[in-house]
Parts: sequence; structure tokens; C-alpha cells
Amino acid sequence: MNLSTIGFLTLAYFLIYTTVFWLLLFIEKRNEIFKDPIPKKYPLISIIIPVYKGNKKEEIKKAVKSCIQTDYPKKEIVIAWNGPKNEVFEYCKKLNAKLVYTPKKGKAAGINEALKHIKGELFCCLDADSFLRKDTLKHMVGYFNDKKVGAVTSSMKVYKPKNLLQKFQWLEYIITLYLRKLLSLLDAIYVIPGPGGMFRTKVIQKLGGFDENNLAEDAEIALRLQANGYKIKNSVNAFVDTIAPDNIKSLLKQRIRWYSGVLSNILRYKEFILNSEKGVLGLFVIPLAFAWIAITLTSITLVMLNFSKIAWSGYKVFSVLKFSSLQLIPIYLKTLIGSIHPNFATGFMVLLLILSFVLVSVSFHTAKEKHKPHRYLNYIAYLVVYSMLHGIFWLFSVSYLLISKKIKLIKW
Amino acid sequence: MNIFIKAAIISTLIFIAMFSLGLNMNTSAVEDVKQTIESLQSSLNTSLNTTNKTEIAPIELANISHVNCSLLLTQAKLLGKQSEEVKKNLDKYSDIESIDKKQYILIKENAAQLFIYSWDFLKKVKDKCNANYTTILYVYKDKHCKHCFEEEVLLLYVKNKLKDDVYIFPINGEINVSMINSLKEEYNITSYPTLIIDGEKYGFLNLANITKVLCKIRDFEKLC
Repeated sequence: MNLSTIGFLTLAYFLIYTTVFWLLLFIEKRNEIFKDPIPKKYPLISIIIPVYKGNKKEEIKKAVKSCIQTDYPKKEIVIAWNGPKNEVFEYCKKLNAKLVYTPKKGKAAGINEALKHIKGELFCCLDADSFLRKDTLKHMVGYFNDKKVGAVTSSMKVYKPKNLLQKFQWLEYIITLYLRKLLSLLDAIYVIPGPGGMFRTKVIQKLGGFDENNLAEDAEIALRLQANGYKIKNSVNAFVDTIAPDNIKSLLKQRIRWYSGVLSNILRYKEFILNSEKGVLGLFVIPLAFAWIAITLTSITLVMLNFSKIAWSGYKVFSVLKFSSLQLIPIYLKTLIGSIHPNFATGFMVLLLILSFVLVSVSFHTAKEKHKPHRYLNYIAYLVVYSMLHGIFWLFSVSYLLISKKIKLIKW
Repeated sequence: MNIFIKAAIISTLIFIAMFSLGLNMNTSAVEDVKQTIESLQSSLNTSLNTTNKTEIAPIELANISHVNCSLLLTQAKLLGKQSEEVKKNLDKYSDIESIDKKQYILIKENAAQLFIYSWDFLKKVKDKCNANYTTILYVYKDKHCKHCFEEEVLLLYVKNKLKDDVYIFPINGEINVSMINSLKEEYNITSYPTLIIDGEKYGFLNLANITKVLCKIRDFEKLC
């Protein structure tokens, strides 16, 4: 047995284990997944919407409107303007919300400024391109019955996906929604996404607010909360809709920020790694995340190498048979199809594909989405195309982290 | 029981089942290749009128001189086709090498020897019966061979154009068996790729040159 076969078998076992683990956890905790604790009280919640000059008026208006329309009884809405002003700032003054301002740039700076002005015992962050649903807050607030809970995450969905890229992200968010709930059951959430993250105000104030010099302040605050003994929970019933990037460039920009941000924060809070005192997060989830990153990077590198090999072979073939290259295409296709046969890896591949379909199906169930056939077809395209994009994003993110000055954030 | 251990037990059971299935598939692939090789060997035995199943005697023209050409041509074409089938299966199941390299090497050695016998048989039948097919023995190396890939593509192209008018026998020159060594000695093969077209030795032939050589032998309608 050669090295690549051993590598393949190791990877296959790892993938089987992780998929079986998530499915098993779902089965064991199926009664807890959809149940949100009944709130003992309904404290005042301050909804903070960080806004900067790049946000669109209509989206801000829609976000504010969604906050007004929630059925939560006690709430205040605060727009936290950060950075230079433009005409949108004047527009925000007219909205039915309190407006606070800081010249400092960044979402974290905006939230920190708002923290000085809010009255809520709890506060909920909402991006200016995201919208609460009527019952979102009510589903989340009951988790704060437990004094050790410092934050609760919502369940994000992509708002009205239009193009294929947004449909892929829709699927990705649905799978993430399911996994985040499972992580919550293990007390191992390591990111509190911006849209819909709810926090205990005093705790965040005590911890010094959000880190304003961080690529991913949402990952940093999650790790800081847990480093200080607080728990993070999730509600699969608390939906928040968000507008996803509709082009590769914006998506790449977003993912570089997310991935390099999460990675740099995990490295910053290195005391979590393989630390039994930090529970499942330290012993299982963070090492698992590292393994995934390593697998993603290795896979995308191998795929790119193979693609370049195929492209080089193609170039050589066509340079040899210039005039007859078109005639050669059917011969190659015939040879290619003829060479497909069930082999040693086939069983593993089919099994993993089936397991991943089960996982997607369970994710649809968790997200209360219908099992439409076209969604499963999309998943096949997602596996082929989006997983490659995902790998490329990670490649960019790690490179960015290695070459940019942001590496200084990692304090070893 | 801890969920991590439960997941490990279930995963291990699934893994073992899949691994066994994989090994089974590998064995059936090996059997498939072996079967095509056995068919080739059995056809060769019939052609050479030998009963020895494991070793084929060297082909002497005298051995086939008494057989009529019609029968010899049928046998030669069958051997040509079966050799191609073996080659196809060897390529198709090349991934069995990753599981059992030793076994795959033995199969390849066996196949290479049968290719040489088949090629020799077809060459001799052509001489005796003035057959209208062309034989090409293509000697190559897997690595460090500048033009082997190009030559292989060209031969694929030629085969596709000429169909049963040409029989190509690929031999890996690096296989260390006496028969290949003797062949290399006989034709003084020191560089790769080497082509032996109807008994004539050539080095790397590009499309223009291979067309020229083949068209000199016969006016192939689809190529010349």
C-alpha cells in the first residue's frame, strides 16, 4: 500500500467519523434542538445596528423596520454610526431609532460607542443588511435565564438568494445553522455572527467591549467570553435574514476577513487548543477546525496541481496534433469514459456522498426548510463548485494572514 | 456511553466494511486483468499449437508453416485484439497498483511477455501470408522520457484512424525480464521511445514522420 492510499484512508476515516459524530449528536439531542427555554422575564433589549458610509439607505430602513416589527415587548433601537459621515448619516437621523456616532472606523467601534448609551440589560447586534423576524428575539431571550450564558447566537439565512453564488451561500448557511446548534449543545461555539448575536450588556462592558483592532471581532468576543467562563448558546428558531454577497469579489473579501480573522483569533487564544479545562471546544472542536483547514488547503493544492497537470497535458496533446486536435477530443472522451470503473476508493466515495446528503437533509429539517429536489441538485453543484471556491478562499486567507501586518495580532 | 466513543465505534465498523468492499473490488479488478491475460495466453497457445499453459515456446516460422494462411490470419487478428484488450485493462485498472504493487508488477511483466510473443506471431504471419496489417512495437519508459507522452498520443491517433489495419504493442522498456532484455539487445534499443514498425526500428516519430513511414508501407486511405 503506497503513501497516497494511506493518506486517502486516513482522510476517509476522518470524514466518516466527523459526519457520523454530527449525525449521532443530532439523534441523541433531537429533543433539545428545537426547544428554547421559556424566559423568566422579558428585560429591555437594545438592538444595535452598526452603520457606516458604505451601507445602503433602503437596507438600513428595512433593518430598522424589521426591529420595530418584532413582537418583543421591551426594546430600543440604536444606529451606531462609525467612521466618516455622508448623506446616509443625515438619512439615519430621520429613522425611528436613536443615533449614536463615533469618528472611529469599524463595526466594533460603533458597538462600543453604542454600549455607552444603551439602557438594555441585553443587547442584540444587527448588521445594516440583515433583518430580524417577528419572533427572533423572543426565541433567544430565554437562554439568559442561565446566569453563565453571556451570549446567544441566532440562525442566519440568506435573504432571497437570486444568483447561483447566493444560492450556494444559502445552502452553506443552512448547513452552518445546523452545525452551530450542535456546537451550542456542546458549549463549543467559537463565533457569534454579527447579524443577530445577543449579549448580556454588563458582561460585555465588564470585559471591555469589542476588540476594535480585530479582523473578526465576532470570533474574538466569542473566545473572550468563554475564556472568562461564560457560555454561548444558539436558538435554531431565531431566524435572521441577511443579504449575501452577489459576486465573487465581494465574497472573497468577506471570506478573507472571516477566515483569517477566525484563524488569527484561535491562535491568539491558544490556551484553548487541546486544553481539557476548556471542554469540547478545546479538546475537539478547535483541533477539528485545524484539521479541516489543513484538509481544505491540501485538497485545493492537490486539485490545482492536478488541474495544471491536465492543462499541461492538454496543451502538449494539442501541440502535437495541431490540425487534428478536434478529432482527438472524442477519442479522449471515449478513453476517459472507458477508464471509469468501481475501484478501491469508490465505496468510500459513495458512502461519504450518501452521508453528506443525509447531513444536508437533516440541516434542511433543522432550518425548517422544505426538501425540494432542486435544492439537492444544487447541493451537487455546491459540492463540485463551491467547495473548490471555499478552498481557494482559505488559500487566500492563510496567505493574507501570513503576509499582512495583521499577523502582529497573533501574540504567541 | 460517551458520544465520541460511540461515533468512533460506528465509524470504525463502517470503515472496516468499506475497506473490505474496496479490497474485494481490487481483487475483482486483478481477476479481470488476469482473465484477459489468460485469454491472450490461451489464444497464443492455440496459435502455436502448444499445450503448455505457463510457458510458450519461441516462435519458429517452421512451427506455423504448415498451417493455412486463412486460419493464421484469423488467429493473428484475434491476438492483436486481445493484446489491445489487455493493454486497455492494464490502463483501466492501474489503480490496483496503489493497493498491491507487487502483484501489479507481476501482471505487467506477464502481459509484456505475451505482447512480445503476440507481436512476433503477427509479424511472422504477415511475412508468411503477406497480410495487409502493420505491426508496431512501441518501447517506452514511464519517467524521464521526453517524447514518450507525445508518441503515445500519436499512436492513439494512428490506431483510431487505421483501426484493424494496425496493431500496436506497447512495452515498458524498464521491465527487467529476460525476454524484454533480449528484445532490446536484438534491436539495439538504447533510447526511448523506440518504434519497431513492421520490423524496422525508429526513434521518436512526430506526426509528419509517422505518417510518412506508414504511408510508405501502404497507401492507407484514412491517413495518407
